[in-house]
Amino acid sequence: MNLQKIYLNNLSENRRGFAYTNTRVRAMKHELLTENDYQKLLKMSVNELTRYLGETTYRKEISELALKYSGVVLIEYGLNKNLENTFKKIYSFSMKNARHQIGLYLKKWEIFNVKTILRGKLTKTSKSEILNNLIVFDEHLKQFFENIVENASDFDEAVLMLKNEPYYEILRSNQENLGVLEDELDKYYYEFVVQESQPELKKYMSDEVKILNQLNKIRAKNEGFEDEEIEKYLIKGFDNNKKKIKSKESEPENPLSLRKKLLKTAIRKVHIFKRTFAPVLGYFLAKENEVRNLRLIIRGKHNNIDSEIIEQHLVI
Amino acid sequence: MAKDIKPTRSELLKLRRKIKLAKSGHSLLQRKRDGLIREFFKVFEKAKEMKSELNQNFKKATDSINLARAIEGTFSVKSAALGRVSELNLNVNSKMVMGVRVPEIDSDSSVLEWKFNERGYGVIGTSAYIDDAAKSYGTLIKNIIIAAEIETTLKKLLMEIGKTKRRVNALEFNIIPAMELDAKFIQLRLEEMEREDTFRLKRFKRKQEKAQAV
Repeated sequence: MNLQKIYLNNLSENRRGFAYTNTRVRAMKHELLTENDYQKLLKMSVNELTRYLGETTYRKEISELALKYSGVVLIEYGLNKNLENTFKKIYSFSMKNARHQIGLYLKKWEIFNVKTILRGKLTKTSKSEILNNLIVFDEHLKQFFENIVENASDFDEAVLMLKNEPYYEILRSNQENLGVLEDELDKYYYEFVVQESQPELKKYMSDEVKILNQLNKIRAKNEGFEDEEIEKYLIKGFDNNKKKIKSKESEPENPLSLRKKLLKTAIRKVHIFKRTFAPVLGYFLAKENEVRNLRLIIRGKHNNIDSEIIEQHLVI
Repeated sequence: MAKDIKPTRSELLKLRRKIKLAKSGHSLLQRKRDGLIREFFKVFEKAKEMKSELNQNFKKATDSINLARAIEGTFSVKSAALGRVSELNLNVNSKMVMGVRVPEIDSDSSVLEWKFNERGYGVIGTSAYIDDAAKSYGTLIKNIIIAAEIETTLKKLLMEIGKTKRRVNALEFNIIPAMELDAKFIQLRLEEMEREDTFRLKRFKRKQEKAQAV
């Protein structure tokens, strides 16, 4: 009886904040581009695409950045800024456990920002360019990252300014090799999120890691690495070797199409009515995917990439 | 020109030797010019092949980086590219082709053949599109180095062909005809002098005979 009570308490505690957050997110989903929109977009020229995006949810960000940038660069920065604003908006209205889960998912952008700042500092990229490429969902974090970009004179100083972060030890011990440092940061992120997250996010992350591992295995094999060496580039603890993800016909499938399938399945969860993280996760993935698709179409059209290749890489 | 020449037999012999030498030099230079032209066309064929390979690789590299930028985003690609900065060491030696010094470029291509774990970016956070772009640019740079070597060889051969052609023409149309003219002048002058001597001897003999008769 007591155990049952604890279980029910935990269940209700886990579900706290989702009803409100999910309803707000569900209200935002109609702004996402549909399959028909993509069919139209694929037939447009770059100028038409720019005009079209200027009439959608991306209008505000594109107008704001139009003074500084133009053409494809403007669109790319505009898309990133819009993604950032969407994350900010959802994070700001989310509450209780929903907020915690959203924070966990968005931690990947925190890691992305740390990597961007460190790469920028290492290669002496201008402050404005580094700042333009950050995607920050939290005002406090924004100030923190801006402070590092503005005040750290070099890579070592930037690392030092991150000394209060839980991943500081990873940064400190891998300062000599940026590649290893980035890999260790990514491993830290996945392990941390899987430890802390609720089943929906945990399941998605585990599947993503499995596919990521498969893709990296193929990459490493193509470069002529031996199995032992390949292990270094895999994220451990996600049953990499025991269980291979297989398609319905039990034929091993191309990891890229598996990733597409995973993304599509996860995105569909934006439509479900449950007091869990699944709809928000679905929305996040759908939004990120939309930005990626738009960037692919616009860059593809701008650089005359074959339309077949563009369509092959789109996740609709 | 002929006026500056001493019309002596030794001068004529010297001039004849010079003409002989100039003629053999002319034929040698002609053969060198022909050889250079043959060599030029051989290198030209290689240059043509290299140029088309270079164009293909340039297109492949541009396409792969454009695809990576479209999928991963410009900044990700740019920062991955700057992950590890290294200089490419080039050793420029020279070799002789038909007497022409042409460059031979050796490069430490290990920098261009870096594997994905050596390029300074994280493996987990990047994708195979960035690997492809990096690899394609590595191949492109190798092609550029070879193309630079071939193109410089072509330019040097062309310059040498031009120089040899000018020498051959100068010998054929200027130096040898002028020397032949000089030789002819000396020859004529010597014959004239011989005739004058004969005439003078005959006159002297006639004078002597007249004196004896008196």
